[in-house]
Amino acid sequence: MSEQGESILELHGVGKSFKRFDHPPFLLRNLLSLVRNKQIDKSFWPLRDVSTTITRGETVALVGRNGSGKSTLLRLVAGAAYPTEGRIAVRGRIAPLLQLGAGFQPDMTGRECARINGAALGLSPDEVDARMGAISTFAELDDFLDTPVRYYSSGMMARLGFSVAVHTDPDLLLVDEVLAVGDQAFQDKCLAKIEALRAEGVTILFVSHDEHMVKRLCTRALLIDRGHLAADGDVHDVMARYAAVLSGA
Amino acid sequence: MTPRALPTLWTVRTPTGAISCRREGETFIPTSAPWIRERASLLRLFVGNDFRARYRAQALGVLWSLLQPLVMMAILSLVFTRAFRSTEPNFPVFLLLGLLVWQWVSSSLNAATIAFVANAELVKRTVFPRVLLPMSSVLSYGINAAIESIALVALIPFFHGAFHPSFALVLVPVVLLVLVTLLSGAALAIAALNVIYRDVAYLVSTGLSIVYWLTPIVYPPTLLPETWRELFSWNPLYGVVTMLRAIVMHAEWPTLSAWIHLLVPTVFVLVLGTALFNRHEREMLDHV
Repeated sequence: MSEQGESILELHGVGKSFKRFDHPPFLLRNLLSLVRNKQIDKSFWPLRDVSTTITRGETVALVGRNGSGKSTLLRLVAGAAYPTEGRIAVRGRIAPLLQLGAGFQPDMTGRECARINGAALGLSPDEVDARMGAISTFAELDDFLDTPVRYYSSGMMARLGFSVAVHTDPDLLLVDEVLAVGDQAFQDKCLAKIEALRAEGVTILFVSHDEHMVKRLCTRALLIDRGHLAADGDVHDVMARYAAVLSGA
Repeated sequence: MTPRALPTLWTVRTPTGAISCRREGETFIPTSAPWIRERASLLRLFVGNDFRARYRAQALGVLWSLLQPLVMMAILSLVFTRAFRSTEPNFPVFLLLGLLVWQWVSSSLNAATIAFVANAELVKRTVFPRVLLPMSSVLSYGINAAIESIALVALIPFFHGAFHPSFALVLVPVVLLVLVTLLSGAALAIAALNVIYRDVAYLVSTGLSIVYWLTPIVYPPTLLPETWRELFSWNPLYGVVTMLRAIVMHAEWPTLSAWIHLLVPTVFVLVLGTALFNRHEREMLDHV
C-alpha cells in the first residue's frame, strides 16, 4: 500500500475462483478423493486480475451486467469473502450494505435486530445503543422499535436496515443495489443521506443499474465485464463503454 | 465541514488470511483492553439473543427447561431402580447431575452445528468475529443448564446424604469452565465444517448418541470392567460427570490422575477444533 497519498482501498491483481459444485460436498467423499488424490470439482473465475486504487472521498460506481462479478468484488472488499489470488488493502471502518437487514430474525424486536445488525457492521452494542434514537428517527420507526420485526412491512425492514448501516460512522460505504427496494420517498431519503455522507468525506463504492443515479452520485466508475476490469475512469466515458457492452459491441 | 481523520489502520486480505497493520510488513495485533471488551460485549449480545429467541414463542418459556430433565430423571430412575435394581445410593440425584451435563453437551453441540448455516445472511454479507457464533451456542445453553440446576437443588433435600457441603465445591466452577472450553473447541470445528459438508450434522447426532453411552450418565462407572474404565476415563465428559458427582455428592477432591484424564483430551479438542476452524473459515464463506 502507498505510504503517502490518501488511498483508502487498493486492489492488486485480485481474483476469486469458486468451485462449480457439480457434486455437493460430502465429508466422506471428499476424504476419499483426498486419499485418492483426485480433484472432483472444476473451478471457475467470476473475478480475475482486478487492480485499482480508490482515494479517500471518492464516490465510485461499479457497473456491469448481471453476473459480471460486481457483488463478488464488493464481498471481497467488505471482507465477507477472501480472494483466491492477489491482495486487497483497505483502511478504516467499512459499512457493507450488501443486504439491508442482514441478521434480522422475525421474532426479534426492531431494537434487537438493530443491535445484531449494527454489531455485524462493526459497531459495539454500546455504540448502537448510543445511536438508537438517531437510527429509529431516520427509519421513521420510533413507535415500533419494540415490535417484533415479523410484524414489520418490507419497507419498514428496509428502512431500519439502511438506517443502521448509515449510522455506523463508516470511512468506506459499500452499497450493493439495496436501494432498489422501497418507494420513491424512501429512495430519495437514502440518496440524500448518501450525498450527505459523501459531503462529510465518506468514500462510497456503489453498485447500481440505474444510470441516472450513477451519474448523479459518482464522478468515477469501474466497468466489470466477465470478471475483468474493462474500464476505469470518468463516469460518462465508462457509462458509454457500458452501453456498448450492453448492446453487444 | 471538517475533514475526517484519515484512518491509520490498514486491513490487508490475501488468500491466506487477513492481517491488520499500520504500514507494509508490520503486523498489528489487537489485544488491547477495549478490543477484548468489545468482543465480550458482542458475545453477551449473541448469547442473550440466542437464549431469548429460544423461549420467545412459548408461553411457559424457561419453565420448559426445567420440565424435560425432571421427566427424564423420573422415568430413568424408575427404570433403573425398579427394573434393573441399581444399587447406586441416591440414584435420582446421581442421575439428574449426569443428565444436566448431558443436556448441555448435546443441545449446545446440536445448536452449534447450525450456528453458521442458520445465520447465513449474517455470515455471508457482514463481517464480525465469527468465532462468537458457535461460542454463543455453548454459553446460551449454559444459561439453560444453570436454570435446570434449580431442579437439582430442589431435589437434594429429599435424599438423605445426597449432598455434602465442603470446600471442594469451589472446584465446581473450575470443572464447568473446562466443560465450556471443551464444548467451544468442538463447536467451532463442527459449525465451520457443517457449512462446507452438510453431512457433518448426521455425524454429530450419531456421534452424540455414541458418546452418551461412553459417558457414565445413567450408569455408575464402577459398573464397567477395570480395563474398560481406564479406557473410558480418557473421555473428557467422563471426567466432568464423575468429578461433579464426587464433589457435590461426596465432598471429594478429584485426584491428580483425574485432572490429567480430563485436561489432556480437553486441550486436544480445543487445539484441534480451533485449527479446523481456522483452516476452514475462509473456505466456509464461499459455501454459506
